[in-house]
Amino acid sequence: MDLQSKSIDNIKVLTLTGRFDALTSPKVQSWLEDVSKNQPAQIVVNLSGVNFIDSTALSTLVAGMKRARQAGGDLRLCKLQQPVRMIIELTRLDKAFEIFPGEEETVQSFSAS
Amino acid sequence: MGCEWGVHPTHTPKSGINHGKSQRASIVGQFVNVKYSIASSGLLIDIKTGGSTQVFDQILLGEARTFGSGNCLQRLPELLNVLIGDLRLIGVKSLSPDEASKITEKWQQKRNEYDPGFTGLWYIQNHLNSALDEILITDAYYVATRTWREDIRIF
Repeated sequence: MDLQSKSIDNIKVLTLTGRFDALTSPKVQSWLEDVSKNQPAQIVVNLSGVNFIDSTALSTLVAGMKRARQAGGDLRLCKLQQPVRMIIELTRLDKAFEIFPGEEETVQSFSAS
Repeated sequence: MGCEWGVHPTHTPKSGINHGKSQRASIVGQFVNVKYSIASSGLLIDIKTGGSTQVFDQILLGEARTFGSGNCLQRLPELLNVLIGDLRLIGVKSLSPDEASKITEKWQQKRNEYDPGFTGLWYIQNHLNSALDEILITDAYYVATRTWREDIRIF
């Protein structure tokens, strides 16, 4: 899996490509832990390139979200492919995460809140 | 300090065995997951003083993470629960009342759509010290994506 990160107005954006599973989760977890040290931890995870997600990856995202919220920020998801959206909806995690269709509006949502 | 019973919210345990740390056991059709302390647990005192309990205790010691591992004997009594029908062969993890009380969010309740099992995705993917959220997500994922093929693969 490929990870690309950037920063927009102090908001950290992580773009993932490929399978997001138990093998690739540690890299994402490590990145999330690093960026959560900054307060407020405002994180956007762009899943546009992710076509598969497993329970370990979901755990990583939930842990990252909780850590970010503890640090006064949030972790928001955007650009979910249909298979990933289905998994997130079936596991009801769409109630836990704020999910946006585009990256730009996700970044803007932080300034609005 | 006291006993902590690991059961599905719909199941009521009557008795259990433990050995200091988190322990799964099954006695007379009841699946339990027990934590206890020597100081406060009457159950522990019974085990310590009972003549036959030493043998039973030894059988239940250790931690098995895969059914085929060397320590899987400790979990064999749980198969009684499967035979009786209290427990599915493959299902979600049985939670202690303490763990169950922490289920507050909607997504965490997804796991309650299926019955607890002797084994499951939770058993394969999580460690004994896994955070509750990890277990709940694994269970929710299992419930959401469950197929008979996946069940066979897990078993």
